[in-house]
Amino acid sequence: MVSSIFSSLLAQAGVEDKVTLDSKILTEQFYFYTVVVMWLIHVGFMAYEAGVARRKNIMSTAMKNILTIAVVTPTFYYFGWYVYGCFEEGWPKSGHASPDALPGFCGLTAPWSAGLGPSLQDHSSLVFFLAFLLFSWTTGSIMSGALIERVRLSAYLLLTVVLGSFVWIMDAAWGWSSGGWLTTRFGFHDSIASLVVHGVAGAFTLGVLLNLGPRIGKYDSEGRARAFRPHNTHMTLMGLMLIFTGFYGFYAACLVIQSTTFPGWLNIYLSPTTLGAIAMVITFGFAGGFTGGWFASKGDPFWTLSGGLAGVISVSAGADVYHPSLAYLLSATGGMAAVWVGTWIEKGLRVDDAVGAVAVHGFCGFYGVLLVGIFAGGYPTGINNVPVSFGGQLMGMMAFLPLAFLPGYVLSWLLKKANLLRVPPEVELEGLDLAEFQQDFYPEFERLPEVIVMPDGEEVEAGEILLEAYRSAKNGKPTTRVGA
Amino acid sequence: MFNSFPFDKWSEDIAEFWTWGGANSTGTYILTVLGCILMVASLIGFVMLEKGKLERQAASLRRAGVLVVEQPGPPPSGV
Repeated sequence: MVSSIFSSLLAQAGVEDKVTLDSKILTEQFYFYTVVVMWLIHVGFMAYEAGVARRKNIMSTAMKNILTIAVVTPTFYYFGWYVYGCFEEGWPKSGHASPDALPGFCGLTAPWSAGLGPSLQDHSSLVFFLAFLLFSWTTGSIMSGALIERVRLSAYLLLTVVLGSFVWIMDAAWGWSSGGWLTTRFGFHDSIASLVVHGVAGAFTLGVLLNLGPRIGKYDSEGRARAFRPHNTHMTLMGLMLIFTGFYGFYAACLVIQSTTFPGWLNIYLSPTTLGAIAMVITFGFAGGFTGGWFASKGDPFWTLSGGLAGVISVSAGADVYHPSLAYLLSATGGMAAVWVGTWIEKGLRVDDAVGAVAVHGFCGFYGVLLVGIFAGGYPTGINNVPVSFGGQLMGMMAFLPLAFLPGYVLSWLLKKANLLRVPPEVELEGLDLAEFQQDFYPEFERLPEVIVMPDGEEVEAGEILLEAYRSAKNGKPTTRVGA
Repeated sequence: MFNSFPFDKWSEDIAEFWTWGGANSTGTYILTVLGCILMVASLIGFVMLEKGKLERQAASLRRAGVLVVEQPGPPPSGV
């Protein structure tokens, strides 16, 4: 009674309209600042990968991260966002009036629509688009590091367009939206995108790596792995810390808030949660991941920090559900698993993933979704309140694995056949920076002989070993895979 | 003082400007097509520009003889 009188008084005074407008503007500001914070992810990826690269490949490595923004932004605007808006039901059943869960959203995602142009009446569409755009850049950056020091910049950009503006966003439409068929029918739950961002980017990257081949000299004639020394481990660790900072923005942007429409914070499936709950999970995810990475790698700095990332990715899918203690325990297993899987990929599979992206993002992305099926079974998900189940999570994994792996494999195979995937071996040996930019980017420092770590751990000068690997490949010997 | 601003009138004027709120209009379609042309042209440009750079550098290195490739020799006698 009192509240209705109060509401009527507010309405008469026009206060209700102003409160609604303020709420919309707060929503606009919230997503805007998540975008600002998420830029740090890309600063971090750039520093991380450039630090891992040898001195002769620094700028060509960093430039991949910078130009990701140049190509994914327009492609995501012109068709990527449309994929998200219109393919939630698998195929847009009612055209631009689709999907049923969010009527008319499809029509607002076309680049000529009101939803993607400036409008004084709309305070949410553009910032919401931008948050998703930053997720798209992230998928490209995840792949970027794995391919460094031998992939052509242009080949990477073409692959990134397909991954960032088509593959991952199709996955997101199916399993990371309020109307996605995997969620509305099977209760698929991946609230902060363990699989739809990280797992999918990792699987796509594995497909590319199989065609790209290892760096010259990575494996000896018996297939044992050598290691290249990063030119600046401090830069790499700082980059990872920047990525972690940006992840808080990423986590926040995965929630939905609009106080005059919804009663509180919601996850991407429009199920209730809180910002505090997911912030606790990400923080404990780092703690557990660092711990797991440290012990599994016996204190290796690179794998300790990568373990933190792996830990967070392992608990992201259930971040809106998990208790902090559960997140701590699960992320420790994720951090350890990333080290073991990464070592197996390098030494067992003999796939040269320069930064461990397939293990950290790919494996842990899938692992995170599996964990939700085990530890959050029965949790009501989405607008249909379908309970989370192990089978539903497996359904999502089975749908996304081929959807991610096959485009990466097929496109990189086509680029390889056109001789557009890999730089010429002569350029790879000399370093990509001189070919791409005609510069040494540390001109004031003496250029010391390159060092390589042999399978037995001994550090030796790399010159003759790399030349021998190059000559072996040129002579058609099968011991070192450097096919263009 | 600020209450006297004709904000609603200004908003209407702005909304009628062709780059604002012009959803599904000829101007928006033209801008979309031009943007798509730049997008595709830039992707082709990235490929072609880099191809030229890499081929020139690789040819230059081969000419310089820094990376001499040993041709497979004949099998040892008596084998």
